[in-house]
Amino acid sequence: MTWPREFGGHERSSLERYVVIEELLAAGAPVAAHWIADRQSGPSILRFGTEEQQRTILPRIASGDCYFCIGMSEPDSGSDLASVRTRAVRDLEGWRLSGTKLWTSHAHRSHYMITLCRTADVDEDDRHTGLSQFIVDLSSPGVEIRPVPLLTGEPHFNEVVLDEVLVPDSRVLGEIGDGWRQVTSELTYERSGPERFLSTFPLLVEFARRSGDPPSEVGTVALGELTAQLVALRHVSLAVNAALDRQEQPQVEAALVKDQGTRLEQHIVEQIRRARGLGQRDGGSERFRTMMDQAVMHAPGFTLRGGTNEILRGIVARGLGLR
Amino acid sequence: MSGTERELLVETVEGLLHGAGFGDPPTEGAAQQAWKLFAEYGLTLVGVPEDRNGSGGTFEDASAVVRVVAAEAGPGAFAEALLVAQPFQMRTGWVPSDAPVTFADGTWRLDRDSAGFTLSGHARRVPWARVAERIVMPASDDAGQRYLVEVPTSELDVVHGTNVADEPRDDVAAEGVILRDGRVREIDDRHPAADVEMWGARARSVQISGALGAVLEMTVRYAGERVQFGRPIARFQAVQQHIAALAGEVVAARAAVSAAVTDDGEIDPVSTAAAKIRAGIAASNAAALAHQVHGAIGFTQEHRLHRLTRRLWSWREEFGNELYWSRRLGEWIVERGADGLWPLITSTSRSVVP
Repeated sequence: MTWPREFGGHERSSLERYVVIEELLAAGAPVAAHWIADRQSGPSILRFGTEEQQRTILPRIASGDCYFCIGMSEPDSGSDLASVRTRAVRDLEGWRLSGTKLWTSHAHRSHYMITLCRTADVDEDDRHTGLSQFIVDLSSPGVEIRPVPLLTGEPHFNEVVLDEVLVPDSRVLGEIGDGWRQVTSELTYERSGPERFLSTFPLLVEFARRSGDPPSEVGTVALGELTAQLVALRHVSLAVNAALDRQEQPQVEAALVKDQGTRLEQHIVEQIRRARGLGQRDGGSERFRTMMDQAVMHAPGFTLRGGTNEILRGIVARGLGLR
Repeated sequence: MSGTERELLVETVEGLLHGAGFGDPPTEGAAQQAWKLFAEYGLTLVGVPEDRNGSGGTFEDASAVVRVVAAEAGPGAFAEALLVAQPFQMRTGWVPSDAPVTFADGTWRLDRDSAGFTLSGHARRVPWARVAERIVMPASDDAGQRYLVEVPTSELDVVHGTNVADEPRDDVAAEGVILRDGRVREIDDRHPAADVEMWGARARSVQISGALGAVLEMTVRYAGERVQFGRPIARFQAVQQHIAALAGEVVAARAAVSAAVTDDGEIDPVSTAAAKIRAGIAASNAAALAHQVHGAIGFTQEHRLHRLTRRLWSWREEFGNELYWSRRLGEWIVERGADGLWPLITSTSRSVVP
């Protein structure tokens, strides 16, 4: 929505985009396929990519034909992202990437993975140097994708093994050695939007629908309290969005939205679960029961994905001058 | 008021309070002194238009003054006057004076006979009644007609009381008091006084948001200064996590309160309820986290922290605590139905989205 017209975008404001996103999420619309490409990969290419990359890739994202996944975490590198070991080595034809990425959401259905690699040996005095990003075509030889099902059995995460995968120079994203700065910028986009507090909103709506006639006092109180928390967080999120629009980098506020938002998502699940105890004994509608069960099982993931809340609070602490 | 003018206003209020160095507990004398000082600078009439004897500025500007007073743990009924009593007076067509005023949410009956109006009734825990020269209150007569009444405090019975922060919360009563020097006006449901609890809840939310900011600042400073195990305690992750959580509470609460504070003071019930709920939750969490980081010294009378946390503990309870407003908001949601929930949430950003 916000991208330049020449790349298939509509040059709408980020507020307009925010409005569309939150309406989609509030309605529980399926948004996963285009999510990463639209939210962070595309903007990263807009910010750091070459003109050729922008011309070739962005229109395909805009037309809904091209999906991206995130190649950052590894088996030994989760919160400590700077410790990644996937290596990119230059040879005559381009770059050879070898290593294993993990927790790659939707890799099994994606066309590209923006992959964080070491291009120079670790400098212990500055672990953030020597990292670079590459736009990897997942149909390339040497790419092997293995699903890692969630505890619900659903496909979502993947392990992506790269075995001497060839990536041409034209698919280096940004500058070699500038990977850390690029990743940090990308993660700010990832942290601050309404998806960080609306995952369980459809459950809240369903609870409002099923809370009984009349609803229990506990249920009514829960509806009010949870709504108030959503109202508050949405205001912060809107403010972060406006700051991003002004080309600011509100990393502390964005981290706060995610920390508070994801805990609120869990809190919503818990409060509804409890309130239901005072409701109908037969468990109410089948749809509500299913949503409730799914929410309970997915809840631990909210505060883990996209950076654990402990790491995010560390970012806040740094921003407050404590570190 | 422009951004720079607002900054200047805030600095002026801070400067006055720092200079005066009001201690604790907030005594009658201190409150009177503070009021006089503010009145000299025209600060008690921020939010009142200049053509009505005021200093100009919007309700939002008045809230900025109240927020700073709260952050400085200042004494006196500034919230009650600037954010409730004076707006009520103005909407009734009365010109506010620069004498201390407060409002009383209670049960008041007005009778009328040949001699004039007679007031009977009581209100419990009226903020700063003993310092106010006049008290504004909603009243009704036997036929159910509503009124706004303004009475000199000297015509009422005042029994002293306090809240947990030692702020005056006095019981005020009248038994067939013939109003001599009072003002009376008939009002209808659309007059703000019909919703006095909401105006009070919003005022407390503004105060809480001010105190929260000060608590965060104090806690960050303490953690940077207190050295244990050879380094400032701010270097420990456990402490960092607490302070980050505290910051989250402050930011969320301030955003909710900001949205409830409109330029013209008009109440949006959903925003007001959300503000009081979120501010109340934040008050509890922030006070607990701040005390935990401050350790034993923060638990003493001599340290300044309690001047803020006791106010947080008091203000979160007044004019309905978070459960009270959660239930009210919940009832409105149930009335509207599940499909009305999302529109209700998005309706709160009408005033903030450019």
